[in-house]
Amino acid sequence: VTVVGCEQPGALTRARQEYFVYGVAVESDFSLPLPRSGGAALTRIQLRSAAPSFFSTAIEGVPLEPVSGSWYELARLANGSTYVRWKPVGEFIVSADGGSVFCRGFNVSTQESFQVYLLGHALSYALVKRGFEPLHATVVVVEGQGVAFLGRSGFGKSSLAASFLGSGHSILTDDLLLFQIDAAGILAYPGPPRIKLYPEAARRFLPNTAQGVPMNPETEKLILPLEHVRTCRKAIPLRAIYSLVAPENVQDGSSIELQRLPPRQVFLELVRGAFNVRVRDAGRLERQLHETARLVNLVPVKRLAFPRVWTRLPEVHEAIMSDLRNV
Amino acid sequence: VVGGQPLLEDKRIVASRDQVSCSLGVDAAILNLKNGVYYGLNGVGARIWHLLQAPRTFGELHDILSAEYEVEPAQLESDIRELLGRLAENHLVETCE
Repeated sequence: VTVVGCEQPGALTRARQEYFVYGVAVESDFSLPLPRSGGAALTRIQLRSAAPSFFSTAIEGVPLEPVSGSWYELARLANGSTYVRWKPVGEFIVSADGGSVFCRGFNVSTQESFQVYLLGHALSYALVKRGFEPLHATVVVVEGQGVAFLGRSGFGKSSLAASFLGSGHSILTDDLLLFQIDAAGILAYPGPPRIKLYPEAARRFLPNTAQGVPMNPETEKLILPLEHVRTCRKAIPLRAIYSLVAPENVQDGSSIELQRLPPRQVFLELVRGAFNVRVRDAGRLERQLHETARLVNLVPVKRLAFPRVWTRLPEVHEAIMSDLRNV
Repeated sequence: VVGGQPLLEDKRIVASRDQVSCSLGVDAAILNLKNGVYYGLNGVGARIWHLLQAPRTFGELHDILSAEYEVEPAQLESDIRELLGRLAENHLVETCE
C-alpha cells in the first residue's frame, strides 16, 4: 500500500498514460490499476493531479453542500464545474463538460481507497456530464451475459456478487454500471478489476484472494483486487436486472422473493438506482427519463427480496439462476 | 381543484408546461421539471394523461373514456376526479381558457 501524495501540477511534465474503464478511455498523469486497452472508446476523460491551492482557490467563497446520508461534500462552481470532497480520502473537481477530472488524494488515504472514490463517485459526475446514465449496480457474468444487482450502498450487491464469484462466475463491474443501448440491445461495460466486500463475505467466497485494503474509516469494507480470471474485460449484453429490496425491509427468516413489476414501477426502480442522483439540472433529468424508458422496454427487471444472512446467499444465487432460465 | 380553481365542467385542463413524460408500453412516466420528481401512471392513468396533452374539459374526458372502458359512469367520474386532483396537487396539470 502506498500513500497518495499531493502533486504539483505543472511542476514537471509527467508521462500520460491511457487506460480503459467502463468503456471510456481515461488519460491519466498518474498510474492506475486498469487495463491499457479496451477497443473503441465511448468517450475520453482526462484525469489530472492538482495541488491543494488549485482546490482551495476554486472553492473560495463557495458554500459546500453536505450530502445527506453520505459523508461527502459538494460544491457547484460558477464555471459549471463540480467540486466533491471525501474528507479522509481526497478532493476532486470535474469540469463543466465532464472531460477533465482534477484530483488530489489526502495523505491519510491509501491509494486503493483514493482510486475507489476517483473511479466511482467522482468519475460518475464526469460520466453524467458527458451524457451517460450510470446505474448503481454490480454485474456478474452468467453464460456470457451480464446480470445486474441494483441497489444503494449497503443493499448487498457486492456480497451477492461474491457468492457468484465463489461458484466460478466472473464479475463485470462492482458498484457502477455503465451501459449503452444500440440496435443490438443493451451493452454493459467492464469496471475496475476489484470488488468491495465485508471481511465475512471475502472469507466465505474469496478465501484465496489477496488481502484487502480498508475502504474508509467509516466502514469495515475491504477493497479486494481481482485476478484476470475472475473479471470480464469486454462489454457484454445485459440479460437481466434484479433490484434489491432494502435490507431493513426484509426479515432474517423470510423467504427469497422475486417479483415481476409493472413497467411504471420498473421505471421508478431504475430511476432510484441511478449512480449519481446529485446532478439534477432539467437537461440531465429529461435525458434520464428517456434513457430509463428505453431501458424499461429492453431488459427484464425484477425486484429481489432476500434475508441478509450469509449462509443463505448460495440459496439466493440458486433462485437467481433458476429465474434466469425463464428470462 | 386544478390550478387553484374548482374543477368546473367547462374549464379546460391540460398537461403543465413544466413537465416531460414518456410512454412505457401501456404505462407512462412523468417528470416534474420544477422539482425533479418522477411519477408513474398505470394504463388508465396513462390514457388520461395522453388525452391531457391537448386541453380537455372534464366532460370531454368522461365521454371519451366511457366509450373506451366498461365502467359505471359514477365510478368513472370519481376515478377521473381523483386522478386530476392528484395531478393538480403535483403541478402536473393546469387549467386554460
